[in-house]
Amino acid sequence: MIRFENVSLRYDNNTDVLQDINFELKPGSFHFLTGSSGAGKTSLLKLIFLAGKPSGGKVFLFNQDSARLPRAALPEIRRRIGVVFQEFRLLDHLTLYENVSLPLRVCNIKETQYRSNILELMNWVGLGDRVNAFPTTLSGGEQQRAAIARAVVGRPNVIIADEPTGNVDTEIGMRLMRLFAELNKQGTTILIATHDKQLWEGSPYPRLHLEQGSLVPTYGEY
Amino acid sequence: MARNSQILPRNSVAGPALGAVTATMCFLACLALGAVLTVNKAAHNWLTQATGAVTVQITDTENLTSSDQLQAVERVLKRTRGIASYEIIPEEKLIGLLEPWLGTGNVTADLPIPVMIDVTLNPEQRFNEKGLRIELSAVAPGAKLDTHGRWRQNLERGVQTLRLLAGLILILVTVATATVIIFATRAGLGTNKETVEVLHLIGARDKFISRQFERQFLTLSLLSCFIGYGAAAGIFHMLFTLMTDMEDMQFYLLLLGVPFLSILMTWLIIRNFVIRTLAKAL
Repeated sequence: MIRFENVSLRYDNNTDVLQDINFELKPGSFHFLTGSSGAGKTSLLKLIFLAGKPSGGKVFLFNQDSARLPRAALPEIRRRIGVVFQEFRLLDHLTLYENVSLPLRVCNIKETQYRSNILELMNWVGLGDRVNAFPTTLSGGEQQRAAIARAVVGRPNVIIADEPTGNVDTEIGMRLMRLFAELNKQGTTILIATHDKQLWEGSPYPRLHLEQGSLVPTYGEY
Repeated sequence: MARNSQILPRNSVAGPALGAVTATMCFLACLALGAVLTVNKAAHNWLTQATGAVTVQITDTENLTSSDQLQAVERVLKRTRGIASYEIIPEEKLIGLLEPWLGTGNVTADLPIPVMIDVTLNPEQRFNEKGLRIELSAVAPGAKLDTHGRWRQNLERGVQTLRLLAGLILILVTVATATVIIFATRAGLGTNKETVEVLHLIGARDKFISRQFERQFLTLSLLSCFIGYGAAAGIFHMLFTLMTDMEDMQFYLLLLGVPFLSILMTWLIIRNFVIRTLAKAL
């Protein structure tokens, strides 16, 4: 489903962010992407949701070389990947309902077709009473849950989450993890980037560990 | 209950300042086009009157007085095809026409005043101007046919100059408006950079994003263009109360083309500019 072959990423100032990355995410798999801050987790995720291009190597998304995708094909690929951004990236001038429904609106789906689903989803992530609230009036945890709701609403094949539990307490964090596990059971491929050891420790899912831009084997897992 | 609203923040793309500029540009374009239409119509009226009449002037020659030649000229006029009627202008009227230049009572009896004949042409028949000239010179060497050609040429030249001037103004207004819209669109894209990026990353097509910009601009330009049109139409209406036979519905309908073309132009510029800019994004 997603495959990295000898991928490297170098910024304009000649800083190597990623070096010789090789891995594959099979359909329906669940992986953690771990590493300390600055290890390159967000940069690697950006290559998956097409917010950047590799300097070397190849990134295959749904068996297509991302570097060879015509511009017109990018929206379709992006719709198959739900992203929970580290900084949430909710649109402040839109209500939570509008933010969450945005991936469906951009597909020109009529509101009558998704309205009840959105309200149900927002109830499920504990934001049922905040439908008309604007992001700036919400706590970090609430914004994070809204960002997760937006990422999953279009039923993507892959969900990528960048530090999804970074702003929530343990209880909400565990609830969100159960949500990801539930989505994974339904066949969604999940990749969660985190530096929170508690999140992956004791979890049955494998992890990809980044150190200074390179993937390193994880004891007994990788 | 929750409902979807505009995706781009209100007034983040096209603010009141742009509306005022668009209204002013549309107003100026309407004035320029209206001026051309008015001058065209007035000139057409004048030219129709001028081409529907010619004047025969008979002066004394060495051997013949103007009166001696009058009968022969009248015979020619009567049998010439294309002439509806003619009228010999009375001498008192001619003296009256000269008085503003010479002063009242200064036109003396020895002043050689030519005989003037006002000839009305029949628009349904072909008038052979050259043939009449030849015939007149044969029977009355002092007769001269004046078809007001020079005056007509000057008038046509004046109208043509006004047309060019108005066309130039229209071009300038169009270029200025297009430039303002491009700058405003660029500013709008800059202001909404984060929104555009998020829209792209969740799978929005460039056309979808462009439509959000077009919607905001078009709502504003629709309103401002018709304000500009209304103001210009009001001015012309007031002007036409001073000019008889000039106001008609066709004039206002033609003028209505300006706001419609402005809106079409705005839409095309925004669509083209936004799509081209977004094509450079990831």
